[in-house]
Amino acid sequence: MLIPPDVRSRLRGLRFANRLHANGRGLGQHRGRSRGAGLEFEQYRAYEIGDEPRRIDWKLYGRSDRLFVREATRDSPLNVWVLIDATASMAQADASRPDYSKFVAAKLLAACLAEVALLQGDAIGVIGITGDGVQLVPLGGGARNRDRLLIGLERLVCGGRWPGEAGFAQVQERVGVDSLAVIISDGFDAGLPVLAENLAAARRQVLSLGVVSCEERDFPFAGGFIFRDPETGAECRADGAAARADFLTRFAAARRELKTRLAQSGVPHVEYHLDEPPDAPLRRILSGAD
Amino acid sequence: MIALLAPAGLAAAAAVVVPLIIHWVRRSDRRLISFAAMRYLSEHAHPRERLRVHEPWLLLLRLLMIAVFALVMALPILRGKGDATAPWVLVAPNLAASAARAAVAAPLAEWRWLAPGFPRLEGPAPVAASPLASLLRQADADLPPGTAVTVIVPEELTGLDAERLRLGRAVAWRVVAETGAVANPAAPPAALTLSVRYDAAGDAELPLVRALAAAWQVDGPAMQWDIAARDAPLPTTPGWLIWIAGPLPPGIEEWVRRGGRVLASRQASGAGRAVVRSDASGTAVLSATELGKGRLLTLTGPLLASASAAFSAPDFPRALRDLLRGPPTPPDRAPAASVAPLPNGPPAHGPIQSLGPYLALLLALLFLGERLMATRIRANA
Repeated sequence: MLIPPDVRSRLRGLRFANRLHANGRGLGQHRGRSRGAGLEFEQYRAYEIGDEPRRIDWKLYGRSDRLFVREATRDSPLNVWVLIDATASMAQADASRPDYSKFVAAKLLAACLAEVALLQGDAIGVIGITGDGVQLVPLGGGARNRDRLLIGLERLVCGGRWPGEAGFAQVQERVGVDSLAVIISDGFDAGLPVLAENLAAARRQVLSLGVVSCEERDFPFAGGFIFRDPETGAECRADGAAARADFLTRFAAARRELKTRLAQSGVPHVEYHLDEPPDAPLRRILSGAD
Repeated sequence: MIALLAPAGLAAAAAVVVPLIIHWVRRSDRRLISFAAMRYLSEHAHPRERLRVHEPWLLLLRLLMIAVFALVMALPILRGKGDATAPWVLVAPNLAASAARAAVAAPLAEWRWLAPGFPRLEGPAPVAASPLASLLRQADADLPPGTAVTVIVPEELTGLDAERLRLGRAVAWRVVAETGAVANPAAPPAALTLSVRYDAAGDAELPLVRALAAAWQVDGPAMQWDIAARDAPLPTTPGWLIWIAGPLPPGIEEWVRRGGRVLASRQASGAGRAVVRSDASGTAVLSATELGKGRLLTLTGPLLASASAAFSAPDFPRALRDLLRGPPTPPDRAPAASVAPLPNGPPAHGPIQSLGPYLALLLALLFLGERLMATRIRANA
């Protein structure tokens, strides 16, 4: 999973901005929930036996004749989870670029996210959601985890249909409170907005990336075709030119509906078209300007 | 005026359904595509059932090709205008040119020999080889309808056929006495020579040969005998030969082709020989082959009365003679005055020209164009 050099260079300008308090272990770049020694003042609290004497605010003691300890917010790293929709429908690719399927694009997006996360010292993990269950690349941070992540990404495969609600339990267990979850999917599965809503309601910050192929966006078919749903196997005979206008209308409406629904849960949704460079949707979603 | 000699050939145009099927059936090879957004396709966007043609220009070229092919099969001809030309005088080749000119006073006419190609009378007299009736029909068909034709024939005509001459026009029929020394065709044929060649084994077969010859002469012409050993040369003029001397000599085939009739005993049964006589049990006794003008009859066994019951049959000599002689030639001679052509034949149309070569060239060009168009590299293929 090699990120093209031009994309990699543009990734340097991207940052994860968290709405919630970062909850990772160790020191990071995000405002954390844990308190302790630090620069940014958080609160005073009464002295307890065992506190270091150097952390006592002696000037306050002079004024109030009581011992108070200064506490500061500790900057923590962010835990980023990339949830990749690995159902069979993600194997779809454009005829003009058959080796660049939606799934390959999703893995490339995940690699770009890992690059951004690792650059700013955050930990990142990947979960592939397939019909058979969950494929996991565990959480890890630091430059030494980059290769492990990329190899883990390479091993992900797609197939099957979206699992039921039971399949989410594993995801919700892994994705801890206050972590950032980025969902990359094609948006065809009804379970996807449910997962996003559940995660968002359970104090996770959720971003959604929808992968849309150029054929879905433009519907460039002319002549007779048999369209087959890769997940259900249902087939539909249609004349490309005749079906085009209606399909584009209905598909755009469905995408708009998905975006609205996710926005109601506070989940920004950005589309990635397969002919774009992969950093473009990341720039839109990380800057919040979609 | 274009006419078709074989209008049934136009039935080949039925082959137009083949390219039509090819160009229409290709319509239905819909591509299968994996498309997850299929659920947003409308239920009513079924492919239109209207017949659509792939590559209409190629189809047109192919249809044209088949149409031209059908036209070629129908043998189209172009008939001449039929403007009357100067009258023709046709002279039978066994008449003298001067005698013919004396018989008919037509100084402005075209004087031609009644021979293949209708050469001018000024040229040498051609050999009378072709059937006269056929030549007359050809002249009648080739000449424009309005041209008057005079035919000068000798008193006795040969080369007639079973059909009474019927021409598309009324011809002037002049009978002129032959002046040249023409062999009298009614003279009795020269006596037949019956050659017999035998070897040591054939000695025993000679009695039956003699018996056969005696039987033939009872009601047939007398025969001259030429009985000799195997090595004696055959007569130069091919006649009848009974070969009872084992394998046939190498030159015999040429001898038969020139008109020889050979009955050979003790021959290996060869391919291509029709069995013409079997004995009561169905075993082949006599096989025959036509070679050029002659015939070759072969027996697998010896020509001995004891060898096969078929040789003792009462009708065997006569049947064998008929086989050697071959089918009789039909009568083709008649007094010229009695066979004057009747004018109620097929109407004369004048000279015709076949359009076949031109159409064949057009067909080749169309085929070339079709191949070029069908195999060209398509931008959207």
